[in-house]
Formats: sequence, structure tokens, C-alpha cells
Amino acid sequence: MQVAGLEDFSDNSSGQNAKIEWLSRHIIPHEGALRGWLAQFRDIDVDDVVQECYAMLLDIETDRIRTPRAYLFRMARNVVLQSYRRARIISITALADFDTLSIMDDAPSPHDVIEARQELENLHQMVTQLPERCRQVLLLRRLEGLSQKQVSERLGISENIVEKQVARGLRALSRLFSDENRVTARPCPRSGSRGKVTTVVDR
Amino acid sequence: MTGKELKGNPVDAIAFEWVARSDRAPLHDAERAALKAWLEQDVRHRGAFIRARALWASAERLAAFQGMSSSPVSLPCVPLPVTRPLAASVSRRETRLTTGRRSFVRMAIAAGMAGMALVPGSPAEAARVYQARDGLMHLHDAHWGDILLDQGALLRVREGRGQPCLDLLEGQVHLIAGNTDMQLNMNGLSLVLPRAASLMAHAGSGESDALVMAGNISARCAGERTGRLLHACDWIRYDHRHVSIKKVSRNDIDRLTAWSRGLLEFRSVEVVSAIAQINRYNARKIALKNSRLGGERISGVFSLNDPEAFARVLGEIFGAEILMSSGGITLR
Repeated sequence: MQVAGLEDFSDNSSGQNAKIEWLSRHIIPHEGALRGWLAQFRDIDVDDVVQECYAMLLDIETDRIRTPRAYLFRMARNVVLQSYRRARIISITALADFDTLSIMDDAPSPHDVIEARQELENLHQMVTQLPERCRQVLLLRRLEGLSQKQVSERLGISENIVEKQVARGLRALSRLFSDENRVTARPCPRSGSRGKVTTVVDR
Repeated sequence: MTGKELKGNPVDAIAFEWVARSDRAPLHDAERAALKAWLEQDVRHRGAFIRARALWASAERLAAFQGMSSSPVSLPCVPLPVTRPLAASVSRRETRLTTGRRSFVRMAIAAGMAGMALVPGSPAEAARVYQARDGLMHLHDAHWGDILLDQGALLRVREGRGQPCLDLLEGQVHLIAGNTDMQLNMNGLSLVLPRAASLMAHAGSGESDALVMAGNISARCAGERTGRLLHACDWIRYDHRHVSIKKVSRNDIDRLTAWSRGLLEFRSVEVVSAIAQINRYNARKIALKNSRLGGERISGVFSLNDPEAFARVLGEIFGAEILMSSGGITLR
């Protein structure tokens, strides 16, 4: 199987980085909601669908996507449908659910546009939830721009441990972004409190 | 929650390890081949790898927004001289804490202190005035305790025969009493901190307030015969006519005292006000040339001595253009 763009994967080409940055800004913030929506479908593995969506997003021109969230949901819907088509055995109930639930992705959502500042506010909330060592490593590596080797020297731990902490940090971030009940910022009211950054907990 | 959810998706776990490994150093040929093979094995592997990289990119923005809040600013620590002062030229440099009294005075002379001035005192009393003119100023004495002056704060320190006595003339300070009681006066409000007690005090024009952070502190206002005992989280305000005391939550205390940790914590503060506060602490100023941006509100924790990082966050959040020059930082 030929994998498009594979050679770029471990390169830090500007095109790849721009795509990754776009995904982190416009797709990752909606992942929790997407997983919550997908959880309603039967006979699918939510992780599989999400991973397939990311793989497809890598190959498309994201510049033309005006509403990434809606696009993501539509794409996920198609992946679910394909999954059902591929499946040899599928319950009638699942198909019935699919017809009903798939309507939802076209419905207007208060999350259609998560403004950058609100998403950053979410991230700020998340960082406080990371394990302390992970947080130290992530901040030193990503904020201060230290290499993993420098981080190991700063914290007095081995490079192997730093690498493991990076992976652990990614797992923690993954859990946080996957959680549909995580602290989520909602668009603020347009009148009365212009520009106010408000965080609420979705329940 | 299922066991799978607790443990995480195994494909994701492998992807995280690859991203962590790639972040450490360039992959060797064998590793590169192994990654390629794994990615070609299944489209989900590829998706998981891309997702892991996107999460890693999010971590960068997360760190930027965090504004180094978990990296405490290392403040120059100036020993608090309790012996008679010697003439010293003043400049602010980083010094190390030392407990030996002789080396302590030598250090004070060598390092100097920003804005320190000698004032006449009675024969039994040595008095000094400290003003933090270039960021925070930390005074330390093993016996007295710690005094942290906020930018612009003006503090007179008197050493009488008894307990040390401080007069806060302007601005705010954070006090932690050492092995002796410490007295603080400001605008008619007088407080006595017992050993190890801690408070944040502020003196403005004609009014003063203090927030008790630890210990039981006695407070007395001008004209009062008896005072009152304040406890942790009590906030007393006095303006020569009225005195009020109320309880403050730990969250609010964290916010109000953020500056003493080298941070500024904003909660829905107008950008124009936030910039003014950041500018107070820095010679490198942020100039705002965008009136719309000034009215926006921002929340977050920021390093008070990193205006560039703060400007970058504003640019990130509100899409403002940032111009860096030797003269300062312009947002428009």
C-alpha cells in the first residue's frame, strides 16, 4: 500500500507542519464532541473512526474548509457508513440509529465556531490537570524550547525518562481532548459582556 | 469507564511513543523504516500518528498560554541589612542568599539595592527606605523573615530595640515574619505579625488594606483602644473613617498574590488594563495601536516580566499584529 505523504511524516516540512497546526487548532478541539456523538452508534469502534478521520484529513486541502467541525462530523458519518457497508453482519437497530443520528451533524451547533481564545482557555484549564512531571517536561520542551536532552539535564532525569514523559503527556492530552465532558468554553453572549472569556463545565 | 479507556487505545499509545521518539532526535534508518512499515500497515495507524502530532502541536499552544506560570521567576534576593547601613551605590543585580551577618553586609554593599535610601533615625534606631523601581524586590533576613516589595512599593524599615517595625508608605508588599514578631504600619492601620505569620498589605492614598495568608495577626486602627485578631483569609480595609473585614476565598488569594510569585493572573480583564499592568513591571513596553483590541477581555496566568510572551498570546488569541523593535512591542 502506498501511503501518500509518508516521507514527510518525520520531516518537519513547512507543509506538514502547517497541516498539523491546522488539525491542532480546528479539529482537536472538537474531538470530544465527535466522540460523544459517535458513541451513540452501535457496532463501531470510536477510536477506529477517529483515526480514519485524521488519516483522511491529511490528504485534503484544508484551506477550503470553512466550518471544520461540521466537516469533521460529516467525514465521521461517512466513515461510519462505510464501516457498516463493510461489515458482514450488522444489526437492523444500528442502521435505524444511523439514519436518525446522522441527521444531527447538519443541525446548527453552539460549538460551530470555537474561537481561538476560548480554545486556549480550555487548554489553560487542561494544563492544570496534567501530572506535575509531565507538565514540567511539556512546558520546558514546548514553552522554553529546550531539547529533550536539555530537559533531562534541567530536571536531573535521564533522556529516556523525558521521552517517556512526553509520551505520557500525549496520552494525558489525548484523554483530555477525547473527553466530551471536559471543561469547554462556549461562545460568549454578544451583548452585555463583549469579548468576555467565559468557561463553563458541560454536563 | 472500561479497562480500555483507562489504558488507552493501543494504536494511539504506539503513535505517542513514535512522536515522543521523533521529538527526541532524528530517527535512525532502522527506526525510520520501522515507522514507515507501521504506518503502511493500516490507515488507522497513519491517522493515529497524525493525531499524535496534532496533540503535540496543541501542547505548544498550551504552553504558550500557560505563560510560564509553572516556571517561577527567580527574583534577585537581597539580604536585609539589620546593622547600621554603609554608604553604597545602588544598582540591581542578582545576589545569593547568605546567612552569615558579615558576609551579609558585604553582599549588600556589593550587590546594592534598587532605590535604597538612608533616612535619619534616632540614635537607637536605624531606618532605611526601600523602593522597588525595577520589578520586584526581595529582602531577606534569617531573623526577621522575608519581605517582597511589588514594583513601585515604598517601604521604610526601622530597627528599634524591640521588634522590627515597617512603614508601608505606598504600594504593596508580601511579608512573612521570621523568628520574631514584626510590626507593620500604614495609613493609620497597624498590624503585628507573630512568628511565621504571613500577609499581603497594600497602602494607597488615604486607605490601606491587608490580606492575612497565614497565622493570627492583630490589627488596630488609629484611635482604637483595642484591636482585633485576624485569621487566615481575612481581608481588612481601612480608610480613616471605616474599617471592614471580610473573608476571601483561597482562589481569590491565589489571584491577588500572584504577583509575589512573579505572575499576573487576569480574570476577564480588559486588554488595555492587562497591558498597563504588564507594562508596570517592564522597561520594554507594549504599545497598543488597536482600539478594538483594548476593549476585549482576557483571562489567564502570565509571567509579569515577559511582555513578549504576553504580546504573543494576545496576537494568538485576537489575531493582532505584533511588531517587535528595540524600542518596544507594538500591537495593532
